[in-house]
Amino acid sequence: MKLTLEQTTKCYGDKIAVDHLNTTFENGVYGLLGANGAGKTTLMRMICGILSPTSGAIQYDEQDITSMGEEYRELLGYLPQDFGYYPEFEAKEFMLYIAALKGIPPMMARRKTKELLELVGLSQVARKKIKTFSGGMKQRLGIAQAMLNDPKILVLDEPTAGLDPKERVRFRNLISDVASERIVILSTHIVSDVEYIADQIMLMRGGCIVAIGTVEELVETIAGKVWEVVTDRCNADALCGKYDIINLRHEQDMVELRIACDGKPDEDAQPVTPTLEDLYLYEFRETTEVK
Amino acid sequence: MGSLIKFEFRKIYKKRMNLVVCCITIFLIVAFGIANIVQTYTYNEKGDTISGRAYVKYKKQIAKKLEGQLTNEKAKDVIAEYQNMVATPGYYEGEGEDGHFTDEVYCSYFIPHRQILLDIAHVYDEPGAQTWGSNLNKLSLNDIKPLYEAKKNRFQMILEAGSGDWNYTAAEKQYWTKQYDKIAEPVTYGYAEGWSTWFAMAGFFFYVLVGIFIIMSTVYAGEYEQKADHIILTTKYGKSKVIAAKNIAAFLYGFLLSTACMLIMALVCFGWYGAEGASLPVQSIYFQSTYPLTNVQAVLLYVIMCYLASFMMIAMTLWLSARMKNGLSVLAVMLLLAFVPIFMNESMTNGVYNHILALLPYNAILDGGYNKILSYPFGSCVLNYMNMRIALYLILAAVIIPFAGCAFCRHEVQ
Repeated sequence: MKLTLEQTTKCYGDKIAVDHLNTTFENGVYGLLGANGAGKTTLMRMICGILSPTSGAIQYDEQDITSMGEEYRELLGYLPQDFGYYPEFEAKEFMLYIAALKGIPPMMARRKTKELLELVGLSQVARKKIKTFSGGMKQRLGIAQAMLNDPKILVLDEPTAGLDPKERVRFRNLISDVASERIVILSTHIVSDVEYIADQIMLMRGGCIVAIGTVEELVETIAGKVWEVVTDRCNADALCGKYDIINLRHEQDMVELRIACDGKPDEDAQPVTPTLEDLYLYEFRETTEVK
Repeated sequence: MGSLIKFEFRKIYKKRMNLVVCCITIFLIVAFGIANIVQTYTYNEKGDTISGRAYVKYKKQIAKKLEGQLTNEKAKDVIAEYQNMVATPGYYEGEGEDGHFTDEVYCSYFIPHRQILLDIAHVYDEPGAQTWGSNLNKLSLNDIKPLYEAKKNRFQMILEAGSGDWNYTAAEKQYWTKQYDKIAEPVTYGYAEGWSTWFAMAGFFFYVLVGIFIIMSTVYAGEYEQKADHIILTTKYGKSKVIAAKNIAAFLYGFLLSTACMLIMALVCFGWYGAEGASLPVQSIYFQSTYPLTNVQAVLLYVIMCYLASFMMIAMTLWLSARMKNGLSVLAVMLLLAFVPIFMNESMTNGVYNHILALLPYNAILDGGYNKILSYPFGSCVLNYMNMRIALYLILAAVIIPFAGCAFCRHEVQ
């Protein structure tokens, strides 16, 4: 099972949202990390077939996904960034509707609906109208609907938006449980969401994948470039103006800074073990080291 | 597929705005029906205003007296009686165009005979003219042609003269002459108040059309607005069966709402005024009509035409809904299409324009057209106004609806 992107490009007028992207997805969890406008959502929409690439191709097992039609969509589970729902529908009713759209037989649809609503913690409110749901509940319902057809390709755009920390942990566990034997592509701004569960992390910027690899592999690329220093306020201000600060914490008269830069930023700075968040901030820093 | 249709139907009827529009539409039809019952009145022989059940009873009494065939001889007797009444001292005031019956005679004689008098009088009007009975007193009983001969003469003169700059083709003339010859003469009169009320009320169905396209405007556009299209279009049947399901649900909803309103109209017309006169010829209501139909046939055709007009409007709304990004844009286009013809008058000179205007939904619903000689020639094939509307709306609905499906299929999320 292989999902291949070949020179996939999407342009809106002069703006290139996705730029000649070449990559292959196989079984496993892929975490798409990138700032707003990096092209994550556009890429996901193209993978889901609801947006046509301006050029290039997307293939599933050597077959063009557009020509596969229903056969391809049958393999898909998609949670969009802005999850459209029907306010007057009950949660269960909505799930059964999506099940009908996915061509799931009624008996199985009822069983899967029950299972998934339980799994996402919505079984108690299955008969409640969606308009009464909180943002987090709607998001959980969105996750449940995406998984109704036991998809071989699960595409989740910002799945943890609106979820509280406990729900995020539950979601991460859920994805880990179902990740075997399927392609899971999820995008997020929250690094910790993918740090624990993604087999591969893809960093996107300007429509391109700028880095790809496991968490360890990626973090390794900035080994020796993350520093911590405890200094006075005056020096801290100077360092803030000069470098990209990953974290800043005040301790009485002193300031503890975590800095990402190629060279040692201060004589008291100590190298620390980098994290994925450090990498993210390093890769998406707005300026160069020397401002 | 069945469950998809069920869900799509549920989406339409559960939407609060749709529920409100549906209730308003039904309320309007009920209100128009009640208004018809309450506001319809006449004067009895004593000059008292009568309405409600008394009106129905009185109309039945009058119809009983005049029922039967209106033969040439009877028509002559009616004219003679009219002229006698006018000549009787104290019955008629004034002279010529300004003359009129006294109130007492107006109520006791003219009102009960009004329809038959006007029907006969119109036969002796010049083509294109309507004197509303004022010519009756000028007719010479010895010189005038028998009623049905005069009627046919007038009909042939209209065919020869044409309408505005519209000259009937040979095929049209042949068609209408054939139709005319099928009309049973002499025309049989009787009580048909329910049927004539139906023809008068049918125009209110236009408001049902408006209600329907307001509801249908969001069938596809609503998915885009709510961003539910993102999910739908990625599902197995998101670009196939769901389109059929949406269209079927929309047509079903439109059909049910139309039927509910038709039933209300039927209840008012036939429940209140009675269904007597179903088998009478439509000429008992529209004496000059060239449609060889009974009242029930004429009403059924009218009903079919109304349904097809609503289907055509549904198809058009669905297509626009699938193409446009929001329901309001759809509504704006449909409202223009529906209401602009209200402000477009018939041309005195342009027959083609009039033929097109007559097909626009407002004009089409408002008038059954049974008293018009309006036809659409396609070479040797001629469609009368009613058949043309039925054919056109059916074809348009069938042709447009696949475009709605294509537009939704090709839709790309924003």
